[in-house]
Order: sequence, then C-alpha cells, then structure tokens
Amino acid sequence: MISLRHIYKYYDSKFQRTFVLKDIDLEISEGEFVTIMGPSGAGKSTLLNIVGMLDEPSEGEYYFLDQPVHKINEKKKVEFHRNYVGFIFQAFHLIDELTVYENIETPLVYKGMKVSLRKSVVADMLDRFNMVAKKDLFPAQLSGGQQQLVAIARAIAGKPKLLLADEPTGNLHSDQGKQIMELLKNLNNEGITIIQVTHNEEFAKYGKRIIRLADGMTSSDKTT
Amino acid sequence: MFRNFLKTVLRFLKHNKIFAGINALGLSIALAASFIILLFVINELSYDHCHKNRDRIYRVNNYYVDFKNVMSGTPYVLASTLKSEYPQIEKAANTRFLRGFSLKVKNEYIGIPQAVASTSDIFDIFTIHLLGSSRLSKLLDDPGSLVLSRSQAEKIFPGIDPVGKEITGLVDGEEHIFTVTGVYENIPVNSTFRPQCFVNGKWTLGSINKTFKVNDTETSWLRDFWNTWVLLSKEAKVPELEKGFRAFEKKYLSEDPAHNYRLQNLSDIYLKSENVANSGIQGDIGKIRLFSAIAFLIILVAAINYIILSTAVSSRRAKEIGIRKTNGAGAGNIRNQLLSESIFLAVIVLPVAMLIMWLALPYAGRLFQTKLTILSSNILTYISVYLALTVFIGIASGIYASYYLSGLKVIDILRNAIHYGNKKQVFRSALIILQLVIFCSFVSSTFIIRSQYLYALNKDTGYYTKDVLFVHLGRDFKGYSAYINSIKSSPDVIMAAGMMDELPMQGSMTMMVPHFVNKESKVKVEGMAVDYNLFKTMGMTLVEGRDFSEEFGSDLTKSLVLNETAVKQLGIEEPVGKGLGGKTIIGVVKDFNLHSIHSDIPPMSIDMTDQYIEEVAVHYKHGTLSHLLPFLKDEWKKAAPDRPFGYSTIEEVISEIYSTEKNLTTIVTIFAIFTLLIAAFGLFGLTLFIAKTRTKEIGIRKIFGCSERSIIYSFLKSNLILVAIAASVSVPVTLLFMTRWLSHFSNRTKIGWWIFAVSFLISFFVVMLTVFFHSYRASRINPVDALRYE
Repeated sequence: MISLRHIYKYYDSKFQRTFVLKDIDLEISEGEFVTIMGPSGAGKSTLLNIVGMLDEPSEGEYYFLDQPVHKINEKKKVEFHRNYVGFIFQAFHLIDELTVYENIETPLVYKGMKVSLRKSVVADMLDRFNMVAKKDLFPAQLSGGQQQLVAIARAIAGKPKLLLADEPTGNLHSDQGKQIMELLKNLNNEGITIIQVTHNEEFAKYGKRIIRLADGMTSSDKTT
Repeated sequence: MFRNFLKTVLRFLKHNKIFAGINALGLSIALAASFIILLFVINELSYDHCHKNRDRIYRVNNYYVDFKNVMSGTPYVLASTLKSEYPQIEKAANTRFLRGFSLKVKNEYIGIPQAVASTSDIFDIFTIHLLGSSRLSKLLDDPGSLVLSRSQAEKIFPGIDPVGKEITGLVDGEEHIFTVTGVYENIPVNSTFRPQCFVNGKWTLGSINKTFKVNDTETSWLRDFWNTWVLLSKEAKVPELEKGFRAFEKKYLSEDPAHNYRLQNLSDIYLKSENVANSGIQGDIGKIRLFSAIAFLIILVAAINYIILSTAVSSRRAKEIGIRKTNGAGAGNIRNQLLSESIFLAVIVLPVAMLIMWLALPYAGRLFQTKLTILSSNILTYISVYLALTVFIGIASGIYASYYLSGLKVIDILRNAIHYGNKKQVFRSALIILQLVIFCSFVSSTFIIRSQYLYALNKDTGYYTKDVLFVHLGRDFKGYSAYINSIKSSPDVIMAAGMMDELPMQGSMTMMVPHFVNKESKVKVEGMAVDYNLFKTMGMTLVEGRDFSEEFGSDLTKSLVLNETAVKQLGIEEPVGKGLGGKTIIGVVKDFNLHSIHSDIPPMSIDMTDQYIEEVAVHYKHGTLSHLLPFLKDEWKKAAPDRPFGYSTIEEVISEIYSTEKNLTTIVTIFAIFTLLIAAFGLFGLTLFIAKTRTKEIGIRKIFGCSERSIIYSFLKSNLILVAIAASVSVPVTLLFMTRWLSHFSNRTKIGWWIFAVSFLISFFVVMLTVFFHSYRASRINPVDALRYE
C-alpha cells in the first residue's frame, strides 16, 4: 500500500544541509498497525506528514496504492485526502466554530456526499462513539479525551484506508490515552491501516510493528 | 456545503465582534455614501431614456462658422422643409415655448408653465403616452387644439374627461377658444423635453412678427427662434445627411450661409450641450465624473479596511483552514468559502446601508444642489447597480485574503510555522498608506478649493464689490429714468444707474469685429449696454477720453466706450475719436471683470441703451442698507405698482456665481470626513489586533525592564512613519488633480505649502488618537498575566 524508496528530507541553509530524513526505505501493506518511535527531532512527524502527503520529500520515490505520489499534482493529492487518508493530531485540531456533529460532517461535505447519506453516516459515528448527547456541543465544551474521540470519528467517517495518528495521546492522561488506543486497535481489526507516532512505550505496543528512528534513519524495524 | 460555510462564518463573526463590527460599520457607511452618489449618477445618466426612439431622435442645431458656437434656435419653416426634402427624415416638428399662455378656469386665468407650441408629429417623435379617449393622430393639426398633461388636466378639469371640452385660453393677451384633443401621461422628470401642454405651432408666430415688425415669420429663414426635432428612419446615416445639408443651406439660406445645420442626438442633449446656447436643462458631466470618482475612493477605503482586518485575523482562521485541508478540502474549496464569506458580510450590510442612505437622502440633496429623487423608472437599475456594487466590494475585498489563506501549506499551519514576516507587514502598511493618501488628498483638495473660492470672492474686480445693490426692473420697464431720479434724492444713495444685467454677468452677447490694422482677421468682442453714470456708480475708472454724458445728446446712439483689452486686441492706436461699427469711440475704461474669474477679461464694447435696461445699480453709503431698503421699496411702489420689488446685493450676486465652488468645498469636506472615519475604524481594529498578538512580547519586554512609555512610543512611531509617507505621497497626487481643476479658472490662487502641512497634522492627530488607546492598554499589561497561559 505504501512504498517509500530512498526518501530524503533536508533543509538547506547558507553553509550546510540539515537532514531530517536520510535514505528511508519503507514498505507498509494494508491492514498493518505501525508505530513510529524515536527521540525528539528524529524525523517521526516529518515521515508521517510525507506519508500523509502533507509534506514532500526532498528526494526519493513514494508510491501510494501503486501511484507515484512524487509525481502527482495537488489536485490528485486532495483526492487522496478525501478518499483514502484520515488524520488524528496531538492537539485534536477540531474546528472551534463547528459543533461535534458539524466537525464530523466536514470531510463528508468535501467528499461531496449527499445530505441524507451524510446524516446517517454521522449518526452512525455518534452512536458508535457514544456521543449522541454531545452532538450539539462545541469543542471547547468537551474534555481532551472527548475531543480526541470526535477527531477520530471525523477521521474515519469518510471510511479511509489509512489512518495517520501524530501522538494521538500526547495531550491526554493515561486512562483516556488507553481508551483511545483500544479504539485504534479495534479500528485496525476492522481493516484500517494505521500509522501512529508516539513517545509512549506502553502505547507503542498497540502497534503490530514498531519502527524506531534516530537522526533521520531507521534504527530498527520489528514486528511484535 | 454552503450551510457549513455559513455556520462557520456566523460563529466566527460572533466570536470576533470587533472585527465584524468594524467591518460592518465601515462598509455600511461607505456603501450608503456611494449609493447616494450613484443615485445621483444613475438619475443624471437616465435622462431621455424614456423616449424609446432616442437613438433616432435628433435636434437640428445652428452652427455659426464665424463665432464657432452652436445655437439650438432654428427657423419655423425648417421642420416642414426638411421633412419634405429628405425621405430619411420620417417625422419633423418645431417647438417653442408659448410664454404667458393661460387658461380660463372659473373666470380666472391660470398660467400654464412649459406650454409648448408644436405640430402633430411631435407625438410620433417623443414617447408621449396618450390617455383615455385622446385622439390617436393629428392632435395638433387644428389651430384650436389643446393637448394637456395628466396633472394639468386634473387641475383644470377635475373629475371629468376633458377630451372634446372647450376652454378659453389667453395668447399674447388675446382670448381664443381651444378644444382639448388629448391628454397624456406626465412626462418623467428625467426627460429634457417636458411640456405641460401642447398647442398648435402657429400661436408662436404672432409675437415674433410683432417684435420684428414683419409678417413673414412663418416662411422666413432668418428668425431662429424654434427648436427643430426630427425622427430619422432606421436606415438613415447622420454624416451623409449632414453633408447633404450644405446644398440645402445654399438652396434656402444663401450662397455663403453664415451658419450650418447640424444634428445632435437626443441622448447627447442633457450631458453634451455645454457648447450649445439655449439648450434647455442640462447636466454636468464633470460633476458626474467627480462624484463617481469620490464614490470609488470611498469604496476603495472600505475594501482596504476589510483586506487589512481580514489578513490580520487570518492567523486565527489559518488553523481552521489547515484542518479543512486535511479533511479533504482543496484550495478551490477554501477560496470559495472565504470569498462567499466576504460577499456574505457585504450583503448582510446592504439593508443597513440602504437605511443610512434613506435617512441621509434629504440632506444629501441639499448638498448636491439637486433633488435626489428615487425615480420609479430607474428602480430596477438602482437595485441591480447596488447589488452588483455590494457583491463586487465583497469579492474585491475578499480576494486577497482568500488567495493568501488558501495558498498556505497545511504542514506550516499545523506546525504553527507560518511566518507573519515582513512581506505581509509591508503589504498591510502599504494599504494603510493608500487609505491615508486618499484622506490627505481629500483634505488638501478641500483647502485648495476653499482658498480658490475665497480668492474669487476677494479678487479686485475693477468695480465696487461692497455697498452696491441691484434692483431688478424686469423687461420693458419704461419708467426707469424716473425711478432712478427719485431714489437719487435719498442722502444714502451716492449714485444710481441703469444697466442691462447684474455684474458679474452670467450671460454674454458677442460680435465679430474686424482688426484695425489687419482687416482680414476678426476679433470676438463682448457687448454691454449701460445707462448714464454707470461707471461712476460701479466705481470703474476711465483711462482715456470721457464717460457717457447727457451733455452730449448724441451719446445714446452714436458713442461707445472700449475696455483696455479691446483696444489692445483690435490694434487701435489713439482710440478716442476713431469710429467703430458706425459709432465713435469716446473713451477707454480700465479693465474690469465682466464675468466670473473662470474666464479672462474679454475685449469689450460698451454702448448706451434705453430699451434693454433691466437692472438699476445703486451705490449707497456704507451701513445704510437697512433704512435704504424701505425707501427703495416705497419709491418702487410709486413707480411700478404692478411689479414686485426685487433686489440683490453685489455680495449675493458674487457668492451665487461661485456657489458651485462653495458647494464643492462642503461636499469634498464631508467625503474627507467619511474616508477618515472609515480608515480610522480599520486602524482601530488593526491596532487592537496587533496589541493582542503582541501581548506575549510586551510581557517579556516588561519583565526585562522595558518602560510603559517606550512601549507606547514603539506603537506610535511605526504609525507616525506611515502618516508621514502618506502625507508626502498625497502632495503630487493632490497637485496633479488640483492643477487640473484650477485650469478651469483664468485667475488662480497660489497653492500654499501650509495646506499639505495641515492635512498631515490632521491625519497625524486622528491616527495617533486611534492608536494611542490600544497601545496604552497594551503597555499596562501585567507581565504575569501575559505569560501565565503559555
């Protein structure tokens, strides 16, 4: 599903080139649950953003569902975002001006889904995450864990093949974190490919495969 | 999708009340101001649109080759002759106002203003809707026909159908019986041709015959007192037709006619007749251009506000946009969202703007010196123009923010790594400078117009501009000499004399006089007719020769006085005693301003008259006006019991002549205030925003020992620089436009540097006041509070 070949990411300043990622080769197939770990500045988030097509590699080839991402245009990337990729962030990134219901609905709107279908999908999500009673609340009225639930609901509402989670538990206390991780595990069991970045050793173990990065390079790649 | 946008924008505005409020306030004021201006402009441009065939309706004008001027007057026979000679001319009619026409209602004569004598063709040329049982054709063929407008018909025949009714009318003081043949719907006010009633054309012949002591006016080609209107066929070509007129003129006028017939389209008559004498009501294209430019500038200032504020708050919107993008929104979606937001904001402001406009309309009407009426025939135009303008301002102001924000990279937004760097700062500053340039230019222009106005009022005219008044005699006042002699007996009156028109004069009479040396070339000389003692009364001095005097009995018919310019331009040496046009030059008067200072002092030939004296100039002792007036009035009642007493002081005449300039000062001042107000709103919002985003910075600075004063100073300094740049840029801009405006005057005031200094100071104070409030508040931040939430 995902195939990274000789991926480099660097920034050029006047006298030197600073490498964030160096010669990353990575194959991820459908249904995997991958955890990326590593110290701060190892390039975890950059790697995730490249996979999520939010950032571009400086060098190298990237194939997503056998399509060369390094060659496709912005429009095509938007198509991929709409149909195949969902995101979860450490800071939740919900739209403050929209209610829980409307936040979950947003990606479906861009997907061009019909109103009636949208209603049933959002209702489904709310039901599944036990949030029916909170559908008219604004993000600021929810706890961190609840906000992240909404963010996950939003990310998977469009039935993506791939879910990218950038430290999804970073802003949560451990009980909430556990709950989120259990949820991700269930989603993975249902067939969604998940890549998460985390610092937390315990939560890392939810992944079936752990990749460790150090100084922009893969230092280990183990399947548990 | 739109519902989703709408919710976001409404909630965003709710959370950013200051942003929304300032934008809405600035926009609604700007829209209201430009709506009022547009109302005026639309009304002016809509003139004569009510006449369906206006593309084919032409007025035949008389072009005088020698004088290079155009008169709208043509002979009576022209219309019928043109129609019979040219197949391209489908219809032709002559028109002339029938002055003093009145109708007898219940034994009392009611004067009918704007009564027009014409022929039946006139109803086929102009779009005049006949009502009820009106005859369908040949409405004016009968000499006794009378066609009334609806409002006149309702006044004269209340509650009944007047068609077929007989009524007594008064023409040239004689009674005649008229029969109503039709009634027409009132012609809209935005028509240059707006008679209140029509009668047969023959009724105007009598008075002309009488005045010229002839009886051939009906067939004469010499009496140019009628307007001639023609309706061309669809195939007719105007240049071809006009070329054919040369042969036509040879046939009917003379071998070498002094004037040519030319065609002027009906659509050009209201706004393009500045060179046509006696053209009837006219608009001022210059005024329309000026006001449109002002409307544009106000809208520009409001749009800039929106851009400045929306880019300022964009850092808050950025997060939402980043999220939307990760959720599958393309750049196009984001652009549409932001554009529809700004259009939405503009459209919700529309009703407020309409309300302000409606409230301000009566005041604006006085300011514009016109009646600002909402014409029902233009309502569709108003609505579409207003709506288009609103949507346009929405798009124009939203376009920058939408392109800027939609182009941001998601990764940068989510990393919080957007650089609100120099580029955006410079852009925003440039916009503020642009607003201030507009404002400063408005202020300086106001001062320049005002100083030109004062200059005009105080300029040495060459005659007294104080302690002189003009008593209005009216036409054919035979006993004026007796009246002048009786008022001269008052000890308050220094001197009094009759004259043709008030000074400075509005109208003019010109003639071509051959040069004294070079007989081939001709000089355009203006005439003026006076009574004995006028030079003395007005304080004009003679540089050579003598004044008109009763001692020489022949002065009335045989003498004339030239002004210095005439002597120079005609190349006369030793002028006194020389002959000119059958009269003898008896003196040379020092140049004085015949007209306003818009024009140079023309060469003038002044002679005496006892027929056209319509004013009496009275020079009185200073401060005696209040008890002189009752005396003048009493004497008037004795001399002319049947005429109303009327007078104007020379100050009134002069300020009337320059009332356009005075009004322009007021108008530009008001719009300058508007621009400043709108720009100040924007600046207020921006400073508030900057102060907020700098909270953390100010907190840190204070911890490291920065004083409150230096924080305020840092805010003020950056704005001072903006004002200084704007003020300097406004100097060439103002000079460019104002020298163009001043070029309409022959005598101009000097543009003083203080004008620009004052406009700089005004904008400086307003900007500082606006900025100071927030910068003071920002400087008072408690650093602990500022940094607590980091």
